[in-house]
Amino acid sequence: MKNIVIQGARLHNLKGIDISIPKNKLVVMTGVSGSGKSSLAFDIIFEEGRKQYLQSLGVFTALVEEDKFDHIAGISPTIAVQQNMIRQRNTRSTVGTKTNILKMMALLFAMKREISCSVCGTMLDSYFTCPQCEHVEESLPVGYFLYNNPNGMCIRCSGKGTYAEINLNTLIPDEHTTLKQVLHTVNPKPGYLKLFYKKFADYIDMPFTVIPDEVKLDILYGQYVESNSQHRSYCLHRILENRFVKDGDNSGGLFELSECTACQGFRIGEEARNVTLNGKHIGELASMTLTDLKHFIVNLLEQEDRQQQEMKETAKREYVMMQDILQKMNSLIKIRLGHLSLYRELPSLSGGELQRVFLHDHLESKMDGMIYILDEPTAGLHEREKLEVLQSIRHLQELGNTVIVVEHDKKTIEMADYIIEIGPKAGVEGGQVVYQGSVDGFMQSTHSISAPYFSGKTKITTRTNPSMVMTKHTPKLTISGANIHHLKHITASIPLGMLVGVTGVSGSGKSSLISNALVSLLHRHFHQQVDNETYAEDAFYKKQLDGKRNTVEAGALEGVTHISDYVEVSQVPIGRNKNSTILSYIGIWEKVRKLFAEQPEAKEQHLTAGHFSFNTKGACATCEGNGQEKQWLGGNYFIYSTCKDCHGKRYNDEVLSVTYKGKHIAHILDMTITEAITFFADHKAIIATLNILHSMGMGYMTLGQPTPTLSGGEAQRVKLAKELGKRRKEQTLYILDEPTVGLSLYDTAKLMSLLDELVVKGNSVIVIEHDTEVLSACDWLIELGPDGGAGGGEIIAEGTPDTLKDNPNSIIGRYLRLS
Amino acid sequence: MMTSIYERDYWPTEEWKTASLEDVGMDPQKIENMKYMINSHYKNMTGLLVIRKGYIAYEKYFNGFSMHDTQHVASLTKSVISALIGIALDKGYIDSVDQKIVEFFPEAITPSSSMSLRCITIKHLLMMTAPFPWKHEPFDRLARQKNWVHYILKQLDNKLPLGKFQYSTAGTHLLSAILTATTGMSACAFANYHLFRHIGMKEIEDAYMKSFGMKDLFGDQLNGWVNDPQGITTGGWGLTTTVRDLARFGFLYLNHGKWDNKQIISDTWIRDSVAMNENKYGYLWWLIQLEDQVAYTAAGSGGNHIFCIPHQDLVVVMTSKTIQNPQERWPLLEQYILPAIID
Repeated sequence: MKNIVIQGARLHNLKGIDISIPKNKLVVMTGVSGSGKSSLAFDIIFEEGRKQYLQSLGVFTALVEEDKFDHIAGISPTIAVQQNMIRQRNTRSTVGTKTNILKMMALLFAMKREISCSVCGTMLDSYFTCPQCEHVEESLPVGYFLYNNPNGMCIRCSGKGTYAEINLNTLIPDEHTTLKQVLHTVNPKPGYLKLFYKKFADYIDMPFTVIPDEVKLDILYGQYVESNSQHRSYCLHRILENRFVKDGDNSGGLFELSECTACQGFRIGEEARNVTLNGKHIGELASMTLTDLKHFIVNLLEQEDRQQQEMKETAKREYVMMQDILQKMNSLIKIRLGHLSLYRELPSLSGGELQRVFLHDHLESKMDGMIYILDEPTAGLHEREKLEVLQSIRHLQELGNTVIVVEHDKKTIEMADYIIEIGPKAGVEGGQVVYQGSVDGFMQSTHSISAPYFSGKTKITTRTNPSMVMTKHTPKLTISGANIHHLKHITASIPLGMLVGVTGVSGSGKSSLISNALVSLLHRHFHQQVDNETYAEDAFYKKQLDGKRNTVEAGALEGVTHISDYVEVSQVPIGRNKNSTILSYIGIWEKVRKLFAEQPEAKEQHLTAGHFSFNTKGACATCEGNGQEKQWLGGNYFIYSTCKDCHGKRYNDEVLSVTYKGKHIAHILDMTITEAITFFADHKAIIATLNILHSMGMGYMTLGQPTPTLSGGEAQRVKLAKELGKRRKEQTLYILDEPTVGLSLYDTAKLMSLLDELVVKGNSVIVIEHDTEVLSACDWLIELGPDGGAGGGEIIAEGTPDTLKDNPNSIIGRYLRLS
Repeated sequence: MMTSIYERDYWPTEEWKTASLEDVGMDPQKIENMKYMINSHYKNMTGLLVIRKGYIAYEKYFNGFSMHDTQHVASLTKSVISALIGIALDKGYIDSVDQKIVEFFPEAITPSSSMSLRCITIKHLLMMTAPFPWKHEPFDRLARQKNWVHYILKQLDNKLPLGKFQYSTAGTHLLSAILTATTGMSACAFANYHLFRHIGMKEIEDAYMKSFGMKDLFGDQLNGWVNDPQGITTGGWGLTTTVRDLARFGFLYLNHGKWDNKQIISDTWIRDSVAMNENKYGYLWWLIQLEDQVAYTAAGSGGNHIFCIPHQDLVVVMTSKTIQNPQERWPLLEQYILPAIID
């Protein structure tokens, strides 16, 4: 079949659509957020492709929960690469583990290696008996070469290669330092400080060094406790570690990440470090760049070639293994990842690098005729990086696969062979095929609401005050000496009362400057004021604070008096708890439940607000309020089926008998935001934040949607709406990290008008952004670079979008839209 | 816990005496029924011995084993090490269970040693609450070390909080090393001199180790009690003995450490060893909460046990060949042996 043909697709908001998608092409599926494109791509094509493939292998999958479509044909085995699979925070996951090259290297070491005698150090040849001292070495199994294996990991750092710990010399400068001084140096929040004072009252004025070891241990590292997720009682280590992990704040050198002294950062134990290939152990090889490692392997292979005549069977296996490693390495180098090492941690990669590492697996696959569904693969990428990813995607298609990309990005759309737009709008106003066909046709389309933005016919935003320019009188926020991560002691001036864009290639230091340095300095300013007042009488404490402010790597901050408060809205997903909903997150769930508890039927049955929660009293007894039951299909396959008693409503019958304006509480959770605004029109407190969400283009979301299912972009907008819903002082600084990820240009336009409104009201907005449309609409831009990682960390250009266009140092300038 | 002190009419120092099940107040039919269960679900069992009121009431061997065969009892060894620590304490070799372990290994302490390591006590090792960094500790890696004690101390030189129950065989090896450090004897020799010979257990030889591979340390041809490259008796496994001798050890505990008018281990130590706690793990003994009583067992991989049920004056020994995922042994007591008691 030449096409994937779907008839009568009606899942979620899809309106019984018929669609034919050409195979072996690069297809972009677009549409506003909530239009139904993901339902079509992931819930129908991917689910069906996976299901039919599994069935052909004899895996039982016949649990159809929903009536999704009438007919489907031309489907192939389908693989989906979704954003939430890619965004990883596990530092144990590295380029080597993700690509499996490290495992292959470990096998190579277990097969062939030089080993030095652990008694006298003499190098042994292929036999394991030392010619000098006759000590017999045993061969090491593969696990000894892998840092994630208990046999292989360095005991001191558990295979991390580094460990973070309290710098006791800084914390306790001399033997006179008392516990009180130590606590004030760490400077926990006042409430916790009180707890320390209370718990260690007997020792508070004692010099720290003479406190009994057990008490020291308790203060510094705590005790094991069941009750919290860190399994550690409240202690200085926890405070400092939290600051370090969450805010990148090393508390003025009190908490330091240092290379492991036992393994010199090589992650593996002594046993494996004694085993080498051409003089290098696996830790050294895994720390090399892939390009250097490739040369190393090529050399090894050349040596093998010379010995090929007398090649034994084991040597042949090694030869084949090295060939395999080389091939994988070549494919990574080809997609421009040669600068990475096998030990490079995935969370430290830029978005573009990460996408390519994930695509690499598929790019080297020898199979064709597959369907790949990619979820916004260029999200978070700088224009310059997009090209590399898009080339990889094109390559995937050229291997003989069908590639469906769910995307809003202009570059991607321009490159596609075929465009499908689902819409026209979100939710009930969407679910139809607005356009299918060529790119040219798409740009001309009169039905599409996003095409005019792509073709440039409609501008993304019209600013209320288009001519704001920074002068020497403009109030500014100036960070100087910022030195976090790769920042190179930079000074940045951010004009206030404007919309300021901070941009730069992935890893150039945008987030380090704003989310780490600026936010931690703001945090200190606004929170230390409180602390200072609380402990103003303590001269020692003040001295400590003043001292620390100058030593932090974040740098120093001037001009903070021009703002009254700050709000940071990051992309970190909100609550992982599946029982957390949009309604509860924005804080109106309580109000809705109270409203239900006030209804006469509720009063009769003595139902309180608590009964209208599916987590507690009101829950359906069968599914405990989950609404569905989880069923294991073998392997990694789970299927959720709707609870047979409450039919997914999550509540017991008693609770559902209470209605307000004819709707029971489960109906409310199923309502879209748009519907709820009309329904609760009389209740201003309920609809205030909902109105903001609606104006951001999120009216399609249901009130009961679990927050973990929100995309990064949606989560951020919900957070933003929550913040905007709060009554705030004027002159607030809003900091947004890539607010347009996952947004169609249509939705971006809505978000931009909201930001514009904030600026008009006298607030300041900083956006960390790649989107050229958004950047073009900013009043002022700050660009970091020139490259990612150690090659970045400097301000390469700053000014209005217009001046950046003419600035030869600017990389983004050439991509900005002419105003 | 109610403490039962039983009068004994003989001591099995020389030989155990046998009595019929009826004579010791047990129902033979119920015990007979257990045979079918063993044949079907406990195929790796090698020996089963029920001691009631000081007499052998039931004794069966399987898989070609007999009462004279010695067998490796794996981690059951740990409970013997616990007894030895108790004796060393009674005799003044060790001051207290709260002694820090670094006192015994001063060479392992450097200025950079962690606070956690400095604070670990004998009690932490006895109760498995020392901060080992593993989920599953790798024995192969231990076996490859030239100095086990230093390797184990290195594992504990970390920043983890103390107090989490974490079963560790390496930790018990340190206890054996502490015995050697304080008494100048191997734990095996110390056991022979202060424990085994007093209660009629056959003395056990230090195994002669030619090498320290997994087979030498864990294989099924073990003899005596294995040791590490420094000659330190393995603290967490390695004891090989007979079913009847295991019963003597359990019987000593049932009798509050007293044997034929001689206090071998102090009663206090035994009480402390089996005092119930939230981890259900005493001083290297597993604790079993019965309705209002506490039973305890020494336990080794594969199904090696000495169950002590003091309030029923009952000791049950089971030995087994080590296999993957053996059946739990406690249900045999719960469903057959305990219900057979009729007095």
